[in-house]
Amino acid sequence: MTTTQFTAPTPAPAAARRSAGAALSDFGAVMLAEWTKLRTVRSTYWTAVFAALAVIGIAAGSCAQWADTISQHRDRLSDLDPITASLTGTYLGQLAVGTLGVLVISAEYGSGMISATLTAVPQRRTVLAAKALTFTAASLVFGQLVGFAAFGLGQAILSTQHAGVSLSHPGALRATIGAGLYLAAVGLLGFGIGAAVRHTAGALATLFGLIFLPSALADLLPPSMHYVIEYMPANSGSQVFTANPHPPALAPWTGFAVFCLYVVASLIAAVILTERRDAVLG
Amino acid sequence: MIEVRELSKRYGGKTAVDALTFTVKPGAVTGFLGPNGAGKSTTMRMMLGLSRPDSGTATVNGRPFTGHRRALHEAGALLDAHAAHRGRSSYNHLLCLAQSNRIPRRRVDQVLEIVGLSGVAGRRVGAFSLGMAQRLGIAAALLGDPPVLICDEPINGLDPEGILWMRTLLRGLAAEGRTVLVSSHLMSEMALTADHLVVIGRGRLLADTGVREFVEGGSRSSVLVRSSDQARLAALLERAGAVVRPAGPTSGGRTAGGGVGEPAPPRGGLVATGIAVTGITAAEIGELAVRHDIVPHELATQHASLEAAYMELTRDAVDYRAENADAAGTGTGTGGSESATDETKRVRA
Repeated sequence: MTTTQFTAPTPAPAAARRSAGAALSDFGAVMLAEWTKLRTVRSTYWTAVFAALAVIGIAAGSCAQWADTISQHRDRLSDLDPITASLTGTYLGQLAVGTLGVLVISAEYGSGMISATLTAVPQRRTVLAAKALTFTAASLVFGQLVGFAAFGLGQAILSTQHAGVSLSHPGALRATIGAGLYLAAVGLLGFGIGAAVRHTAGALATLFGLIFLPSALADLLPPSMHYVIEYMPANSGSQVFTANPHPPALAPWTGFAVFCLYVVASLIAAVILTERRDAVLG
Repeated sequence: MIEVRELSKRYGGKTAVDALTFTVKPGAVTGFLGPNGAGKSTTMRMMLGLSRPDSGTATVNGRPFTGHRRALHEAGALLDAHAAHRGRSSYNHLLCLAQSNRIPRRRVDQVLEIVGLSGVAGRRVGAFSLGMAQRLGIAAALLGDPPVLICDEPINGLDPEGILWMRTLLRGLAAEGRTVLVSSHLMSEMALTADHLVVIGRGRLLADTGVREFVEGGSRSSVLVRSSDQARLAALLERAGAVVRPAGPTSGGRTAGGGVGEPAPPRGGLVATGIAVTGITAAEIGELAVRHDIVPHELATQHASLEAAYMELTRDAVDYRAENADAAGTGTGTGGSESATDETKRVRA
């Protein structure tokens, strides 16, 4: 037999005490594995390309349109919100990042990979945490890259009409960072829902339903209760990449904090359900 | 070493695994047998912590599998050949599993070599045949060089050459001192691969025994007799201490009188049909017949095979079978007699 390194099947010493360092190193190994998973499937690249095109492309399109308008009607300049114009693609980009967040976990169940994953690392919470952290780190970096690229390109286009602003403009830096943060948070929301629902289609429907439906439904409420709409996921979350949210809209970080509560809720549901259920769909 | 104690699992109102207790020892291939739906896969999933038992315990190397760190070094598993993302290459599939247990990259190359997939390491798993997927599953199971291997139906989808390869591999792994548990619903395959058998049906333990003991325990060879005077011969045989029963359908496939479901006809009814005789050899029957001027037309010794012993054991524990399974099951019919046989040696007089 050509297998090597066979060690005698001795049971591990009972209640072996492991140092925190070793545990951390093991966790790092699981994160590295999750990073490998993320970078070795095409869906990651497809969704990343779509998100980048959406965020940056819409920034370019929107700002070019404004530049054109201003060049013909200089008086329209007062209507321009240059920061928001360059970050408005975030609304479309969230579809792709959210989809990737769902796929990162739902594809494990859909393909059956989950049984291989959990046979290698049988601690389910460890797997879930490593996956969530790895994906969040990747989407944060990605979000910041596309956010700043969109802002830079948008302002460069507006500057042709001397309408662009710099990052030192009030709200500009926060909104630009906020766009990337929001994308990562939507991705993590998708991950939480994906882990809880496990089926890709069902998870995607739940994610986008959660983002878009409450805002639409809240519109049906009597005017005295319209303030509720500001606490809905899309409304609260988008304030962080809006230049100057006007009341009754929530303040940028307040809104983002509310959005993060939805994310945390989805992750709690994911952990509870992942622990409780059998790991194999059937 | 795998130890299963009083393991039970219910799905809704249906009991999938029912107070199962057995131990899988190192240094041997243990065949885990049972009809479809017997609870083999469920039991294996519980061993690996993928499913939670409702009661009872399953331990691998002395502790529940979920208590193991770097678990690929404790047990390797092939549960589902398609337990891989279709879009990932086989190399990357194995790499991410290896990384999660801090296993070096060179081991990925090694296991690909062992299972003969080195040439297609870069190909997407989705393009693999079932046989290749089974090999990839084995490669993943071997990554951590584990002392325990758990394989669910590993020969499914393999061609004859692949089956031989798998059998040799599993036997080799056991010979190295590892614990190898292999499930199958095919007794014939286990007869060639396993040293020990754990047989379950409807979630319950039916047998936990060596392969040889299983055959000897289950088989009662009998002789199918047809002669010029069945009634007289039957009486003579009974006087000689043999047990005589109607044989049910004859070897020619014709349904005989006195088969299942009908009350046994009087002796005379045996003239047309065969009789199954136990407790006496074919030679002795022939001599007895000739001494009394009866002409033997057929004397067929029927050895119960491993397959037959298995069929007999699991007959009442088969969940899914055709309505007319008694007739369809073995071809020779299992009509409550000794005729549940595959290997028939004919002695024609």
